[in-house]
Formats: sequence, structure tokens, C-alpha cells
Amino acid sequence: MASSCIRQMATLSLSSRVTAAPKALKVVGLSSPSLTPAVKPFLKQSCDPLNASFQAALPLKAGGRDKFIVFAQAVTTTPETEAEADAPTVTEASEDAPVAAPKSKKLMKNVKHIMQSLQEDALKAANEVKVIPDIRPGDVIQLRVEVPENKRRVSLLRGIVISRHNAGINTTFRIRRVIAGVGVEMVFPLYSPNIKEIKVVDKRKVRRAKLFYLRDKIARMSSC
Amino acid sequence: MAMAEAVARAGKESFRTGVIAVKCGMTAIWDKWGARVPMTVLWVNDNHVVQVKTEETDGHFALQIGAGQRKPKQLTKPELGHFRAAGVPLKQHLAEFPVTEDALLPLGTELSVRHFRPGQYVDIAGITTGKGFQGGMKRWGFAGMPASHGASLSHRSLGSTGGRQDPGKVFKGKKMAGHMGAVRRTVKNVWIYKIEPERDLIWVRGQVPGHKGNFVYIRDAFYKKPDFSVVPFPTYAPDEDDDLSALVADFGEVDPFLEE
Repeated sequence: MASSCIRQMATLSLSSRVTAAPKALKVVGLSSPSLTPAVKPFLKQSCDPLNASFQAALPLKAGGRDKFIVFAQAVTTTPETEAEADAPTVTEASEDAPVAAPKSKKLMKNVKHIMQSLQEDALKAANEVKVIPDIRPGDVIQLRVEVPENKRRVSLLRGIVISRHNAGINTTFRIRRVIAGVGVEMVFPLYSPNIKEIKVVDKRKVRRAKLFYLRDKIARMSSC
Repeated sequence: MAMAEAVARAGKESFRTGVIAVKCGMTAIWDKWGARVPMTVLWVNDNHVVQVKTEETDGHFALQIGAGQRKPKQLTKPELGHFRAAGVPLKQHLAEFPVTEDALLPLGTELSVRHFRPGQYVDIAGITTGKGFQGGMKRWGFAGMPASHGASLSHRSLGSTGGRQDPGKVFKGKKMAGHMGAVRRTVKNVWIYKIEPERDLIWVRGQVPGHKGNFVYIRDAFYKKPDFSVVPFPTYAPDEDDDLSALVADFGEVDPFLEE
């Protein structure tokens, strides 16, 4: 019963005229001392339900009303009331306030946006230079890698991709192969300029994103 | 303009102002030889000169630089008055940089990333990441004690703290466990790799104190002073038709991998 009364009050406040009697809003059982005295001043304004804009509690300026109304109510925006509301704030700004700050986002939001856009730029630049195939765990790939430490010789490496770690331009992948009876894993950054060519030779059906279980399996599973 | 006259007045003892930047994060690039170089990205966010300190008024020569933005409701009235006196927008962070007299700048001057040049060395100071209360091993690099062989309940402890009856006390400053981090530290001789005037970014090689979003203070390196015929003194004077493209330093002509 209380909830329906509140709804009635809300609709009444939206579409009520000056003549809408506060009597209708008196509800038995709803004790709210701020309600009855506060409703009267608001109802003096002509209400237009279509243009009603909800504003948080505003101290009323004109007419010497110094009651601070605490709850949110529908307040109309007639030209007179708007002028009253705007006029005092404008004069305050010109007299006391210093140079107004431009609207800015929070610091960390800007910082994250900067790093994100730098990653996007780096990826775009890298993709223009070289076409990088889509590498997924389970692919058997063949790499031509230029090793700077080894007098820049280009070596041919082969293996099964056991993991892919996504980090924008710093994306890395691991390949595993059994060479001469020894299991060897190698990690490469995907966009490294030292990788001259990547070729996907075979695709194996796997049901995992990371194939670290191959380390415990027999050598035949990792040889390719 | 007064600043145009001040350019190229630098002497051997001159020291320019620094700049306040925000640490954005770290990344890595490949240099032209294929080596991986770690990079820190620093964002110079709206730096203006907020106060000029001189020998007559304050006893020394310094520039107070402000960085960032702030809303009027977030500042106290004395702070608002301070910015109003300078005629600058409201700043989030203020820091003072001691300079020589010939490097003083007028009030309200904007400092941009072009204050520095790629290939220059700088000292970067900032508040380090706080680590809380830490023991001697992490804080001072103590070796601790054996993990087994009978060592009882003291695998990470400090061990002895002094002599016996002589001196009969523990010396002041004895390295012990305590609060670590959250202090101001300077990383010296950091190499500037790239400057982006369009986005107000400086890329430096290596690490910088503090975490992301930290305010850091970038100054010319004390032990590798810049050449003022190349680097703008006292600061960069902006022009209407400025080239806003990025400036990148060169990694050198010698291949570090092929030299034996």
C-alpha cells in the first residue's frame, strides 16, 4: 500500500497544478516530516510533464525561499527559473575563479589509452612490413631465423607450437622439438625482425591452448 | 620575444630547467641491429612555469613547474590564488627545478617535449614503488643463513649486530629490517630514444622509478651535460609552422653483434 501511494505521489507531482491539494498527498502511515512542508513551494511552479527535468536538490533562489529541499523532485525549466538559476553562478565565476581548467579525463585513463594506442601503432607498422601468418597451438611450423649472435647466419628451425602468449607487439610463441633425443623448446617474439620467414607445415588437432603436457609424453609426440 | 633573445646565451656552467612527466609504462623495441631494447614511455602533460624564484625574493634561482589538470573544486583557495597569480591553468602537481640565472623563464611559459633532443642523456627522479616492511635480505641484500644443516629458526635473519662489551652498543645506521620503497630516487644517464611532439611523449631507454601514473622529474644529466648548440637553451621556443613529426635517435653505426 505504501508503494502504490508513493507512485501516486510521484505522478501527482509530475502533472499536478497549483490547485492540486496537498490533502491528496497526505497518506496515513507514511511518516515523512519533510514531505508536506516541502511539496508546497514546488507546486507553485507551473508543471509541464513533457519538459519536466529531474534535478537534484537545488536551493531555490528567488522569492526569498531559503528552505533546502532534500529529496529529488520534478522541476520545470521555465525561462524565468533558468535565468534565476544561471545568473548567480556566472557572476561568481568571473569574479573569483581563476582560469577555468579544460575538461580532462582521469590520469590513469589517459595513461592506459596512450599505451594502448602505442601498441596499435606498433602492430600496424609491423604488419605493413611483413605478413605474419596466424599461428595457433598445435601447428607445426618451420622458421628461418637470422641469429645476430652467430655472425648473422640464417638457420632453419622446426617444431610444434605449444603456446602462444598474446601481448600486442610483444606476442611470443614457443616451439618444441626433439633434436637428437633431447627435447628442445624455443621462445620467439612473433614480430621480431630476426624471423625472416614463418611457414605452417602441418596442423595437429589439439584440445588445449597450452600443450605443456607434451613435456611428460614420449618423444614421438614432440618430434616433427 | 624575450625568450628568443635568451636562446644561445648558455655558458659552460648553465643549467636548464627540468620537466615533469607521467610514467605511462614500459615496452620494448628492436633496434636496427635486431637487439631488443627496453623502453619507458613518459608523457609530458601540460607543463607551465608557475613561479619564478630569484636571488632577491627567495634566495636562489629556481623555476616552479606545474603539470597536469585540476578542477577548481579540487583545490583549496590558497592554491587557486597561486595559479591565478601566475595566470596559468590549474595544475595537478608542482615541482621546483633549480636553475642558473641565465636559464630563468618568464611566468606562464609552456614547456614541451622539444625541450630535450633524442640522443641526449637525462637524469630521471621519481618516488619509487612502495614495498612495505621488508627484511634485511630484500632491503639490504643480506645473504641469510643456510636452509638446513641445523640452522634453527633464522634462515632469513640479520645475524650479528655488533661486537660484545666493546663497543657495547649497536651503531646508528645499522642495516636492519624496515620500510622499503616510496622514497625519491634518481636514475642517472638515461638515454632519450624518441620524442613525439604531437602526443607529448618521450621514450627513454631502460627503467624509471615508480609505477604507472607516477610523476617523474626529467632533468639534463649532471655527468653527461648536453651540448647547448644542439639542445635548445633555456627552452624550446615554439613556432607556428612547426614540424610535429617524431624525432628518433640513431643507435650507432657499429653492429654490436659482429664486432669481435
